[in-house]
Amino acid sequence: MTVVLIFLAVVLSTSIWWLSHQRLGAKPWLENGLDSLDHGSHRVSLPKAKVGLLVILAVVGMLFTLLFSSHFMRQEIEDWRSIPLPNMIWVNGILLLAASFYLQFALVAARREALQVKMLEIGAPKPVNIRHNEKNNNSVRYLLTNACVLTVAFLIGQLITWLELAGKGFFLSGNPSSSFFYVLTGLHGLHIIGGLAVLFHTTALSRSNIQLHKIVNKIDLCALYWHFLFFIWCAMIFVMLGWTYDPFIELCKRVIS
Amino acid sequence: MVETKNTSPPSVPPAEVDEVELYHAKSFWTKYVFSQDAKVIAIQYSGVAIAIGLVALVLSSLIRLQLGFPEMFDFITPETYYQFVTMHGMIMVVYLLTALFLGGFGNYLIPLMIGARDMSFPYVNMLSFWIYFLAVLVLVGSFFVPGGPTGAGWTLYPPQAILSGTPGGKGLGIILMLVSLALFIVGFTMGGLNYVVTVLQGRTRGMTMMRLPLTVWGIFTATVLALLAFPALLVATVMMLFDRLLETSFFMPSLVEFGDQLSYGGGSPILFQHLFWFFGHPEVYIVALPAFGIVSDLISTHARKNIFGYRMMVWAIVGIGALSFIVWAHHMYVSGMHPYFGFFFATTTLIIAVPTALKVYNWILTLWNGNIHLNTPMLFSLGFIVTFLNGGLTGLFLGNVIVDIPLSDTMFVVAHFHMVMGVAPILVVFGAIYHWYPKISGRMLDERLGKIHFWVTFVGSYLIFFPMHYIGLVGVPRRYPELGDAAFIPDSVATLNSFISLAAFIVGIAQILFLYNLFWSLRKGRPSGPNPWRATTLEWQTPHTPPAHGNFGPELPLVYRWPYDYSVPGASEDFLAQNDPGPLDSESST
Amino acid sequence: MGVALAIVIIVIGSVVFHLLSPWWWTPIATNWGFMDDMISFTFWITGIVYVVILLFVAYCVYKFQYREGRVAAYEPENTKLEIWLTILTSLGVVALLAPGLFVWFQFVNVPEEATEVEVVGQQWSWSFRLPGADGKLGTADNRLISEDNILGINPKDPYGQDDIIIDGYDLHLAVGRPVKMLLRSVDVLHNFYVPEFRAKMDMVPGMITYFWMEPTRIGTYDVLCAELCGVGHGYMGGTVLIDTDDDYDLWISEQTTFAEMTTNTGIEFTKLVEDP
Repeated sequence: MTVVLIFLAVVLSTSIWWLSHQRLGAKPWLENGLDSLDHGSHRVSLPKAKVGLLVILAVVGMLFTLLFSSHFMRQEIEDWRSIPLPNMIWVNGILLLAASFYLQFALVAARREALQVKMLEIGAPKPVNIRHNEKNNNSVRYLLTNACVLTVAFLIGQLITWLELAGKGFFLSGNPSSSFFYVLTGLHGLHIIGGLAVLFHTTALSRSNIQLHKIVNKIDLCALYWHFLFFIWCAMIFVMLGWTYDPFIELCKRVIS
Repeated sequence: MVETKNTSPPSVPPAEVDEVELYHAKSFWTKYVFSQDAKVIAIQYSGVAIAIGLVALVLSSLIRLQLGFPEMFDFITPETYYQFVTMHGMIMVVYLLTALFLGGFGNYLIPLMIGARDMSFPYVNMLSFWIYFLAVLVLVGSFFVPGGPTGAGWTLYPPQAILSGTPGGKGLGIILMLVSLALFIVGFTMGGLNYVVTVLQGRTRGMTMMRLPLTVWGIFTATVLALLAFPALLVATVMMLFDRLLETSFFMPSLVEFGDQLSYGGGSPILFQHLFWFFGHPEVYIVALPAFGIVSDLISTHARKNIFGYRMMVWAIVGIGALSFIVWAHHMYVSGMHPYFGFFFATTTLIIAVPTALKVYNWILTLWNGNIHLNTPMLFSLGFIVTFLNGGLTGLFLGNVIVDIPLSDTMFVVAHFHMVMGVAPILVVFGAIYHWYPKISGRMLDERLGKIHFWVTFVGSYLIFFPMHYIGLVGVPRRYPELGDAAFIPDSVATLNSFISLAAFIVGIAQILFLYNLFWSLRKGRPSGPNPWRATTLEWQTPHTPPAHGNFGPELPLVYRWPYDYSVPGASEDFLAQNDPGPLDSESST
Repeated sequence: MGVALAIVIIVIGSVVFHLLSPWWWTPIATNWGFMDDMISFTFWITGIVYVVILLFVAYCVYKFQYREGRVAAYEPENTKLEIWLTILTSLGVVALLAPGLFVWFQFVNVPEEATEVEVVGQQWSWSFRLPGADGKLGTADNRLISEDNILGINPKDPYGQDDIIIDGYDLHLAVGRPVKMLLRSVDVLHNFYVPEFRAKMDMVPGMITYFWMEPTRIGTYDVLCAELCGVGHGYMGGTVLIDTDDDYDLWISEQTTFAEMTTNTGIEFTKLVEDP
């Protein structure tokens, strides 16, 4: 359960760090009135949807770290035999990474657009070297669409790895290592599919007449979610590669036992 | 993200929280059924939770029938007995208490108490309830499938949970149980997301974290715990479903069932226990922390005195919440895990006793020098203190590893956890309903019936569970449908069991009084007015009672003070509402 | 008044019940008397706390009950008092925990001289295995279980051949000889529970768990299962006898070994033993 506890420590210390900025030591009965302590800073300075997503990510992270922990604990039993990971996973990794990058670029472009709109609103002079509006819009659409395509390709790639493994005779049951492989990648795939629903929606919006700066937040959420799922994917591969006999893990094991 | 800095004029700044997208219901269906209003969702959650809770109550009576009068009822076989025990436990812990405290009280009280118009994501909130409802339906459905519901105990320990020696193990019972749990977790996560984000982002102007009522602190912390703990149950559930349906071996070692070698091999039952209790122990605090918070507010309001040591109470809630994640294996002292874990987990478990004890002291010190109104909510709070103290102290037996060895898996454990996370939180639930019913319905519950209900429930429960400890001390194991003829069990234990059963039936029947009161008062109760208890928190300051859609009038309240300004020296009233600028406002520059 | 009185009655009633209760633990039959002492000690500490706190509550309810015109005190906190309470509580907790941890250390560290006794649980009966003349138990595995080999003893392990198998009969132990109980399960979780022994531990399929003890009192004791193991859980009985040394030696001389039990003894086994 070490992995879980480490992840939990990160989540809890973030929460406690935030709480520690909430003047937990204050004596509220001595501080009547409105303006003395409230400068609008008592809320998290992020849009609520993003806070919501961060909460979800904590939960998803917990889910996967628990599975990683289970994997490690199962691995210690002597009949464990790691399965050979199909080479296809490396291609998939690059696909997901690329999708993640495209979303980041889309976010940057959309933010630029949003900034431009804001500057127009407040009547600032237009900077000379800023890209043309329409062109900018187009690039966001293009980037988002690419991200969609790449992610779908990733999912297909994952399916191919499943088929490849099954072809080699590693099914869900039988070898515990392959059970974990299917469950982990399957769960990860489900999360990708969930995210894709939102990404498709956002891409469709960007292709409609909506003004781009209105969907910046949505793109932001997608980008964050994709980065996170890529990170989880890396961790997952790391766990499944069976690199767990390295000195660091051994040390950790010794510490807990 | 460019955050617009608040450029408010120096006078009174606007309280409106930005990004509020109130959904306005247009038809009956969207207003009362698929409602996105947290208050309606709260009532839906509470209604379903109480309904399924009544099923669990009936099951407990059946259990007591068997234990008190063994061999008198033919329809209770060991199979059905285990099914009753399992479903009773699972329903009470997950589908009643968790859903009621977080889904019910959380939904109703969080937006009102922090001065928000609704939850942050009302649509997701609605989904949360309906998924919960579906989970309950699946659970109830398992009573009607061939083979009946699972009888694996609420802990669902593999391998027995999915083998044929256990009722429902090879049938649909266990599958439906696991599916229902997975649904519950998904639904809960949606709700929990709302409670957390609403508390973080939805607070009205002036409502700093240190001005939150302890109820909100309790529910908020419990929700954070639940969000982080439920994934463990989900992982365990999914893996067990795979083991059951697809013959994987996550939790299944190689084993021989009634002479047959099964195809499983290499899995670890202990792994399941770790996952289960990694969820299961925080779950205890998911139920306890909201109760702690609510009881603090009840005691303070009805003793007309500020809660003693507010800061300490907040720190204790947060501290207990954080610690609750590193004590899980105290449920596993005799599980066969590495014995050296015992040192660590016994120590952390007893450490958690310190902040918990401080909370008890602070409730009592709040009574000291108060002006105690002995109305029903206060009575239930006092009942909570007695039972929680009792259960907490027996927790010191079971948390201490060497003392736990002889007592584990005996009726002592059963008595302990019923006292501490059964009776105590349920007394708080009752107290809270008597307290907030006037806000929800606009009418008071009948006090006389309420007091009868309290005395029967409280004294009755005490008579059930206090003597039960001694049955455990004798050595009677838990989950035994009958005592058997073991020599160490004196005949008098059977007599005591009958007595306990009688007390249990009386307590069970007394709940009819409560239900009657609930429905009768809805029409005939005394009109309460907006603030019958003269309480300070925001939910009592709404322009409408029951609060209208959007909770507050055209403008959200501004918060000027903490929630416990009762009997402030020099004030004209004995309470100052949180949104009351008050006489002290002029000297408030700090 | 009434409420305060009720609380006082609950306190007095609980104490009287505790003192007069005929329901108490059975006399111990092993060296773990310390567990009983710890329970008594914990009862004393927690009992005192319970009585003091509830009497204080009763006093508060009596003294500060609502009266027209009474104004409650305004007292947000009292740091000094809270610190004192924290220290006192911590001291109490340490007093409860520390001695227990020392005994736990003894409990998990088996003395050298303890002989091994294996208990095997299955739905819903107990079997036992004692090391034979070589003093060692052979290895075993659930995958080797068959009709001829009910405990799954490894036939290739020479240590296993003289192991004594007790299936369907009572287990005997000798008074004063410490034993390490090795616990194994064939199917689901069980828990070898003899109330007089105080010590108990789950049996987990795929694992060997253990506890140790020194029998101190001659007698016959009931074995129960203390971990839910299916519908027969409540009826999974057995018997353990603690004998004098002589009785025990007589009993053990009458038992059959694994090699004797197996139908095809002789040639085949020697062959198996030869190639490891």
